[in-house]
Amino acid sequence: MFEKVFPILKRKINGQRLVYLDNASTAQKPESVLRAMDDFYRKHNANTHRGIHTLSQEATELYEGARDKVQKFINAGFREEIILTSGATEAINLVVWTWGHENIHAGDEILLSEMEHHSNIVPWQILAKKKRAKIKYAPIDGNGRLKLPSLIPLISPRTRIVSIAHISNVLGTINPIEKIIKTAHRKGANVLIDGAQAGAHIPIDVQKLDCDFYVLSGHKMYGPTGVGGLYGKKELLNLMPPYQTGGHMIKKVKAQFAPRSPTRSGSQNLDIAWADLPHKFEAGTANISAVIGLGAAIDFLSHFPSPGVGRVAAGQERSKAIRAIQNHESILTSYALKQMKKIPSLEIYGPQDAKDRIGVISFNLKGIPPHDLASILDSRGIAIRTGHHCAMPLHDKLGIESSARISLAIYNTKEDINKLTEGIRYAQRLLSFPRRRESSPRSWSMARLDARSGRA
Amino acid sequence: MKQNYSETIKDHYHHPRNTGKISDYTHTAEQINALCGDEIRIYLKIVNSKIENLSYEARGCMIAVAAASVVSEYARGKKLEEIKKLDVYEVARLLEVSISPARAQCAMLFLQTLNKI
Repeated sequence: MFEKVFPILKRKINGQRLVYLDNASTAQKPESVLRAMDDFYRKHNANTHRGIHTLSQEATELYEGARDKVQKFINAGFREEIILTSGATEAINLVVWTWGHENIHAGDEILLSEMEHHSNIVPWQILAKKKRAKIKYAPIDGNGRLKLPSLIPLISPRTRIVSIAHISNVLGTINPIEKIIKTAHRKGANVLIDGAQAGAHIPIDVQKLDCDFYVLSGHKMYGPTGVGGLYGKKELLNLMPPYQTGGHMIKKVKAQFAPRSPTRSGSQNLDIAWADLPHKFEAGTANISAVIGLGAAIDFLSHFPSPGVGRVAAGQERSKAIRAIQNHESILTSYALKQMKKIPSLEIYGPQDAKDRIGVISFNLKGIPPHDLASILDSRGIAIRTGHHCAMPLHDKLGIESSARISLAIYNTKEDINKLTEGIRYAQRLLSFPRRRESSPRSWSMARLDARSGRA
Repeated sequence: MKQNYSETIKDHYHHPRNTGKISDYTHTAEQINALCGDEIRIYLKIVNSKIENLSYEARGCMIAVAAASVVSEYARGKKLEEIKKLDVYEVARLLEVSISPARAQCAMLFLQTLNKI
C-alpha cells in the first residue's frame, strides 16, 4: 500500500524488493513532501522576507506556514518560539553556544545521560572544557532505561542544564522526561530534550512537558535532509545572543562596529540591533525548499493514514493520526522482538518488550560482526544500520564495539520483519565456520587494544 | 561474480594468523576505521627495508580481520615498499572474493595502517 505514497519503496535492491529498516538514520520521503519541494522551485522560488514582489511573498508565506505547522505539531505556545535550523545537531549547537555560553560557568554542571547521541555530548564537552564546567552522565539500568532514583541525585544546585534524549537512537527507550523536567526545574536547572528520534513516532506537547528547549530533526520525520527545528521558551530565546550573524537576523547595522555592541538582544545600542524572534536565530538565506518539505512532512504525519495534503490538521485530528502511527509501530515492534528472540545467539540490547519504547532495536549475533551481517542482508535488499550509531559512550557501557540496528517506520510490515529474520538466519548459515573448537570470534576478544584509546 | 564470503575469509576470520604482539618489533602503527569502529595495531620487524616478522592485534568485521590475516602471511619476507603498494584488488585476490566499494575500507584497514610506517 505504501509503494504509492513512498516512491522509493518501488525500488529493487540487488534484484530484491527494498526492505528499508534504517529509519532512525533517515526516513524515506512521501510523494507529498517531494512534490512540495519541487513545486516551490517550479512555481514559487524566491528569497524570503525581503522582496516586495509576488514570488517573494509566496515563498515567505510557504516558509512561515511551515513554521506554523511545526508550532502546532509540538504544541508550542508561540510561533516565534520555533527556530528553523539545518537539523537537530545545529539546534543543539545553537543552544550550547548561545544559552550555554552565557549561562554555564566554572564549576557548573551539565547533566547528560549514558544513552546520548554524540550530537548531544560533544558540543557540551567542548563548552565544559572551555568554561571549566563538569559533565555528569545519568546511568542506564540493565534494561537500557534511565531510572529516576539514580538520575535525580545527580541534579545538584550547580546543575545548569539537563540535556537528554526523548528516545534513545540505539535502544529505542522512551525516557521519563516529564518527571525529569519537573525535578530539574524544582532544583533550578533548565532542560533540553533531544527529540530527534521522537518526532515521527510519538506525540509531543512542549507546553505540557514544560521543557525549556526541544530539538527536532526533519529528515527523520519523513521530511528532507538539512532541516530541523529548535523550540525554546520565548523568555529564554529573547535573552540569548544570536548564534550566527549576517543577513536576515539584523534590524540595523552601521559601517563602524561599535565596541559596545550588544551580546544580548535586549541590550540597547544605537549602532546594531538584532531582528526579533525567530529571525534573530536564522541568519542567511534559509534552506527554504527543505523547510517547506518539512511542513509537508508534518501534514503527512498529522493526517495519517489519510493523505490530507496541504491542509493543516486540527489538534484532535493530529493526535489521532500520531496515535494510529504509534499503534501500528508498537504492534510491529512487539512482533519484531518476538521473532528476533527466536533466533539463536542473537542478543537484543535495551528493553526486551514493546512497552515504553519505539521500534529501534539494536542487537548482535554471536560470531558474526554486524558489518558482515549488514552486507549479507543488503544482498537480499534489506537495509539496516551497523556501527556505534554515533553513541560510542553507550556502546562502551554495553561493553561492545558496535551493533546492528533495525528501526521501523509506518511503511514497514510483518513481511519486512520476516524477510529480516530469514536474512539473519541465512547469514548465520553462510558465515558460521564450525571447524575446530567453538567458532567464537577470537579476533574480537584477542585484541588487547584499549577500546577507549584515542576516542572522544 | 565470486561469493562475497569465501571459505578463505571465514577461515582467516575465525582462525586469524600472525596475531598478537611480537617482542622484537621495530615499527608499530595503529588505525581506527571511524565508520564502524574497527581497530588494528600492527607490529613489524623491519631489517634492511624487508619485513622480517610481523603481527597485529585487530578487532573488526570479518573482511577487515581476514584481510589482515592473509596480507600478513603474504607480506612476510617481502620489502615494505612493495607491500605498501598493494591495492584493494590484490587484497580481494588473496581473499578469493570480490570486494564491493562499500567494503573496500574494511579490506584495506591493515594496509592503511602499514602505510603509516
